[in-house]
Amino acid sequence: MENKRTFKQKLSDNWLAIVPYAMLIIIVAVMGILNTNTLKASYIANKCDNSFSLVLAAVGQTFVLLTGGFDLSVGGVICITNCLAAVHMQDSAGSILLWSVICIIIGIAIGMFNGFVIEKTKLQPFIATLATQSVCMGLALLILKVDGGKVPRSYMKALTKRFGDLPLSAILLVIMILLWLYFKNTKTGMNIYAIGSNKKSARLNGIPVLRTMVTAYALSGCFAALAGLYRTAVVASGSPTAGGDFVMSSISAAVIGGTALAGGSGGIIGSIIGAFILRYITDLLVFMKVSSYWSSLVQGVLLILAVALSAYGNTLKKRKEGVG
Amino acid sequence: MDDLQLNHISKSFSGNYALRDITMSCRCGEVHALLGENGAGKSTLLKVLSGAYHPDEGEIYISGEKAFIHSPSDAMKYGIGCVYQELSFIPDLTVAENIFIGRIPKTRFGSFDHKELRKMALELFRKYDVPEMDPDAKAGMISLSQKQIMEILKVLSKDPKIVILDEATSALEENRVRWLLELARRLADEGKIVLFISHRMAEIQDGCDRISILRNGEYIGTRDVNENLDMDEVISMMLGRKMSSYFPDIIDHSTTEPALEMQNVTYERALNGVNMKLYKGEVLGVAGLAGQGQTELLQAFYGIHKVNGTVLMNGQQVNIRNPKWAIANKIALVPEERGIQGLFLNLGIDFNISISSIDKLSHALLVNKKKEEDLVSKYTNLLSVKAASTRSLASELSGGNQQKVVMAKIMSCEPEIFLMHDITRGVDIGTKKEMFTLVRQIAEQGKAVLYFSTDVEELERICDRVIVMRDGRVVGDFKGAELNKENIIGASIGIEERGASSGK
Amino acid sequence: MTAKETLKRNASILLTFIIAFALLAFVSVMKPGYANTANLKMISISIAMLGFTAIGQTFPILTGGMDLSVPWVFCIGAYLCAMLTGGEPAKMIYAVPVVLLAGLVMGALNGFGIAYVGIAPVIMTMASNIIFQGLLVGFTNGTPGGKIPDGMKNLATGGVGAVGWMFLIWVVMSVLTWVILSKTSYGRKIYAIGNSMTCSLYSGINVKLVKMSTYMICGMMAALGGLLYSGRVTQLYLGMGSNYQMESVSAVAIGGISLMGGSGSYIGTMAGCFVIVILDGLLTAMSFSQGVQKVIYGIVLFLAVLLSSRRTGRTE
Repeated sequence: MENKRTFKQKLSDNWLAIVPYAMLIIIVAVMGILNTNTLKASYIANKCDNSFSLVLAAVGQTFVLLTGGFDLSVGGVICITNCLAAVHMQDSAGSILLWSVICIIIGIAIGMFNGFVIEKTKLQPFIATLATQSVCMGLALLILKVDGGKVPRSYMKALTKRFGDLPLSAILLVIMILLWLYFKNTKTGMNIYAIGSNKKSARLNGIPVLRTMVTAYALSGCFAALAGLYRTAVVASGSPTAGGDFVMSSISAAVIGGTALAGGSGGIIGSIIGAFILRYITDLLVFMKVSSYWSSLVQGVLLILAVALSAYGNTLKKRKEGVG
Repeated sequence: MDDLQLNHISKSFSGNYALRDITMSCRCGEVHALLGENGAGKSTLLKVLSGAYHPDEGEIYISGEKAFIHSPSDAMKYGIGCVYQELSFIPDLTVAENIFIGRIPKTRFGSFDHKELRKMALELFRKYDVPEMDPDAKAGMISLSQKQIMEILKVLSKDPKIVILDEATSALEENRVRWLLELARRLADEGKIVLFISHRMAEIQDGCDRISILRNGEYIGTRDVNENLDMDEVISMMLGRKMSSYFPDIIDHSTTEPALEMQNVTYERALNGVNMKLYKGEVLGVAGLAGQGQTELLQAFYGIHKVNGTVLMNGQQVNIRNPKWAIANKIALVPEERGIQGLFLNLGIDFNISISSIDKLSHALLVNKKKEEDLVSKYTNLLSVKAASTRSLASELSGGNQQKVVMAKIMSCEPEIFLMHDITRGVDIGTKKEMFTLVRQIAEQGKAVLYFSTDVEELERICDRVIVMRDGRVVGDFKGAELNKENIIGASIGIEERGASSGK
Repeated sequence: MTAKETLKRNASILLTFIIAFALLAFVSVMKPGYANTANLKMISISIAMLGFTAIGQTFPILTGGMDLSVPWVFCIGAYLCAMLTGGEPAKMIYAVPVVLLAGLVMGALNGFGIAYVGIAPVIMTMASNIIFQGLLVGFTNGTPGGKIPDGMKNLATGGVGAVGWMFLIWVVMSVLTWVILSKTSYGRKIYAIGNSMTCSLYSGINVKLVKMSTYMICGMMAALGGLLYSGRVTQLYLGMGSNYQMESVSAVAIGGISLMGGSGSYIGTMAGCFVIVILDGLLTAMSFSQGVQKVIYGIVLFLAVLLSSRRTGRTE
């Protein structure tokens, strides 16, 4: 009667999930061999700070990918919040708090709009969020025409604070993972997975599809806003176009981390790992003295390899399913 | 008044009556079968009961009180639980999560209590005697039969007073069919009402107390199931005409010329050394419990799977690479899942029929419209497909007509060898009869038919010869007087191992 | 099919064309002199440029895929042409086939990854896009330049009256595309795959090959687009195809082809190209700031796709 799965069974079912971790470890190890400085706490702390915006964007993107959707508007949200913070934030606790809250609310509102529209009008997420993305980018340009703005010092200091060698971003990262582990085991968490897995069945089983979709896109918008806010502190200026890069890289990070585009499987921990892989690989290429001209090529190849591997894993799995 | 009373229920869609003035009743403690052809209104009636549809007129009384059912959750409140024909599980969630979805126990922190959930699931499995179910397995990874059991358990876990089983046996393994019939009896003994829908007469005769018959959206009558039950009368009530005989008389046209042959063929865990021969002019049945390699056998001959071992066609060793090759070499398959593998649901009948022979209909890539229309009308007429026009979407057709379109597509390729995967599943009796006649006609023309069915009676009555599969091997081969239900079932479950495992 | 039925089925496409011309009429009224011959010719050429990439994009989208690698294939097409000819018109004779072949090969890479390896189209083409970028930037060391034969300039900017040569080329290719998609067995197979991959396989279609071929066509059209575009600019630059990534997808979507694949007509894509280019011209002519332009563009894209998807009526 007791049919608990053995460790070996679990491993053979989930070996794919280990791949991104292994990849990150290998990259870090190779870098360590090439340059021992990269293993120092200060370097890692810097890396953590520099990667954190992408981590946030990728985490947000993951919620949407899990429902089987897409969010191309994260770039636009990052632009808007980045510009707003750089232009309007004054060097006082009140102003910093006020504008941070405004930015987050804007992110959530845009996300809710996306989720609502996609579920209500049945537009494909790709096109719907592409339109929102354009609108957001336009709004960002209206706030700030060219790169610039003035970011309060205390704001920058607060977000890039170090406790010894431990950066604030690392602490936030751990908190995020803990919250995720809780969230995954709540109704909303499971509903997101269920919708991505099979939307029709989810509806038949009484899952509130509209509410869940709005929540997933709102989370994406919220995390994109956070990414924009964090970027403001790290880069110390605003840019109406900087967010554009985040669209593809947030999707890449999530996919490398093992989240399926079809929805229903994956999670944010993988996406965090994926974001670090993307950021580390750029450094690795520098250390390997690869001309920066070729770096996009290497990133592209890496991305294809990662997804080809998971595609291969899925065929194996399907074959098992078909027979078992 | 009875425990479940339907009074003058009517429901119409855009002016056409789907249900017309239906008045019938069920009692607590009975297994009540609902019979009728496809399109007779069974599904609509069930959907009215389960809250998916709201009737235009009429009332429903449960235990003498008027029930107001406007949504599935209302139906649940009245204790109505429905196992739908289409499975509605979520593949990436576990079996336990699927069963208790929406009711998963929580810890005091508000997150899910997996331990408790597992305990609840195991308790449910014990109660309903399904020890092989793994609560932690992903629902997408278990077999079709287990998925169906999972859906049944999901409904039972809500402890309904009225249990509706819509074609719930069609996906079940043979031994689980018996389990479900016993379960239905047990639920009835506990004082519940079980509404049972099936196209298999044997199940209805075995497991039900009363039969109500619907035809064209109207209630025709109710009969008690006992020794006095006249099955011929029931069938003519369903069809509205006298049915001479349900199965055709068969004349053996089989030759000794093999059309297809397998020698020691293996594939993954599904086929473990299959040896068999299919002769020209013969209808060869494939029997066995669910998941013993029958599906893979058919698919292997159609090039879906890459198998190891020797496959011969007309005495020549061949490598059936893919379905394109198979069709080009006159092998055709009527696939298992009509809506997924057999039809483009969002496209018209004409597109569906001509797609497999589209290259033949084209000259220098351009499709010859005239030839296409001729082909489509030839085969829609041959199979008497009933539709408003040949442009009608496949999704708008009834199950029986959909199956006819698939058949038309297959036949338009003019194959010599037919692989048929349970062609009568979910098909009404009228169409079933037409299909049987067609299968026999094909054999009569000297063509070979490999005929897989989950209905043992059908195999017995339609086939010239039947092979039985177990555990990926051929374990029985019956012909003539030996070809009977007892032998087939015996070999399926491994009581009597008879016949040759080496083909013939 | 009766004429009435045809009209009914294609009402959404007709409406999209009407919207495009209404926009053009609007801007002509607001800005007298806008609709002069030279300007109209410019617009027709821009429509054709987007049109070439949109023809290509239509094929993968109809199978339920998408090609995001259009921009750098486009760019490589232009650079390759300059490299091969060095400005000599005679060398175009072999430069054109080589460029088209290069497009086919790049498309085949996409198609192989998607159809045979099983990588999601968006990811595969996104990745190959940055690979192509890396290749071109690596080889050219990031420098702009390259000489294009003068004849190309005439072809890319000339025309008769208000219609550019390019536009005429596009119309001819459009007719060809329409015939391929709606009248041939290959077109049937594409629609079949977009509707159901599984059923296509069971119906005896070589799904993988057909899928791969759609990306090859898309790659070829993008490279051709780049080649023709090169005559339009004074100097080649990296990133010259960037706009066409999302615009080609948008044109197809506005035209009523579902991104899920399997439904819609190529004629719609043509209408989509008109709307996008004319809107673009309108926003520039009305001298809106870049920010306002993007906002309006986004809103129109949203509404246009919503309208056409409503009417074709295929959901989920």
